[in-house]
Amino acid sequence: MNKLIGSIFILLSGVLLCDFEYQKLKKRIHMLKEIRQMCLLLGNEIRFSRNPLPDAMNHIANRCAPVLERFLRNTALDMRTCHGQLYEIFSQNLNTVRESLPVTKEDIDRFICLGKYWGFLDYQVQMRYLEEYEKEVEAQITELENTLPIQRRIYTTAGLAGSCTLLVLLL
Amino acid sequence: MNEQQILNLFPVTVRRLLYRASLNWEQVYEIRLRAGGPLILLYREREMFLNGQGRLTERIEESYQVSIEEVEATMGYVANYSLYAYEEELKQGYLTIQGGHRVGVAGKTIVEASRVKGVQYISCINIRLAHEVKDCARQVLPFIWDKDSVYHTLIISPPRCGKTTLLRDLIRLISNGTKDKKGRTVAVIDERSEIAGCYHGVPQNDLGVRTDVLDGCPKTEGMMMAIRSMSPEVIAVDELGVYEDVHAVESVVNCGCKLLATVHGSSIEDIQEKPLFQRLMQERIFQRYILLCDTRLPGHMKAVFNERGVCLYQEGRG
Repeated sequence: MNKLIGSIFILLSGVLLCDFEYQKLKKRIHMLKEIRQMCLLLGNEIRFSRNPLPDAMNHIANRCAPVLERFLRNTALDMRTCHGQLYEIFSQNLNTVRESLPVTKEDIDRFICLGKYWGFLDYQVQMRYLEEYEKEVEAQITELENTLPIQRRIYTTAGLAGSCTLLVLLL
Repeated sequence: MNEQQILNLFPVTVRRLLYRASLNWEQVYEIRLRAGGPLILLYREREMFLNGQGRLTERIEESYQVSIEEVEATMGYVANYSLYAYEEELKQGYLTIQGGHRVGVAGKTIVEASRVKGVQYISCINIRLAHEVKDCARQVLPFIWDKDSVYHTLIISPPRCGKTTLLRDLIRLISNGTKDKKGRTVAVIDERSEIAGCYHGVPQNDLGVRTDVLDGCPKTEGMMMAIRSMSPEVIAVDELGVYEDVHAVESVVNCGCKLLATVHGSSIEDIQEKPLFQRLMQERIFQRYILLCDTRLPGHMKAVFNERGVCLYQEGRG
């Protein structure tokens, strides 16, 4: 009886562990969509009212996910008090919310890069950088969404196979 | 005046010097930064330098030398890291920031099809601080009040003599009214955000209780927009300068609104000689011409003329 219960636990934990990975991937896709939405709103704000970045960020903050709202408000505030380069302000504030962002280091680095090019030159260049970043995020989302069913199958299979192997070894 | 807001326009090094100088910000009129040049302040109507210890001095050799990096950083802070937002203003060589302060820039201009597209390699910055001097227009007021309205008035003054400050106070007084005069609805077309110093559309300067502000709006369009939408009794604009402005002035006058405007000039003859204003003067559109003194006291009248050019007031003669 104990063996049976133990085996079920091992099998379940293997499957749940893999489902956890799958959920992480789903959250990453969701967050990337939120980031894309944020860029879209920011772009619209700049396009329509030509607001400076801190104003534009404050305007759109309450329409973004809580973690991005925090990032936008803090960045806007730091930009207003004017300490250091924009890139530094941008990456500092991104680092403070990094833990709450369910994305990879690669996604964060790409996001930080956006801060390098913001605020300079004219409106058209500004919008081009934003659109370019949006496209990159879009491509990343599409790629991840396409691999999502495959990833799910892989995770489930790997979880089951791993648990079975562990079970055989233990038994 | 928000001191911290002004200090935040500068990089930490310059900010520290300005802070140490313990300035009375109400008496700071200009701060000039030039790459490789001294940090200059127009303070208490005198040109002063700031030294490396943050002390004011008149000796240029003791002055703090501003680096190109500091000028660049200042530009970033002034524009809130968003130069693109000030693209149109930069084409004219200046931008207006929160509080109505004007930041003039000089550097390498980018020209496209014979028109200035922008300024890059900015190496000189002149920050002109806007001052609200309440009641500076009191002495002007009796000359421009008609029985129950105001006269079409043109304020003539050389640069830096306080014509915008005077206009701002006139707007406030006309809008609020006085003991014996009822307040009037005033529409301000604040093309360069200098009169009202709007932030997010809300005036930061006191323009009176019956004042509507069209912030950042071109004068020509703004005057007609205001007439259609806000039905003002008085329209106020700063710095008439192009033919389109003159056409708009004629439209305002024909609509029955009274007009308050300013123009750069040193005398009434100077204005008469400008082709732009010849017709306006011949048609006697403006009923009062207020000529300001070349002193640093805002609203200090030199002379007042009526539409026929008859002097109603002359400084020293009364």
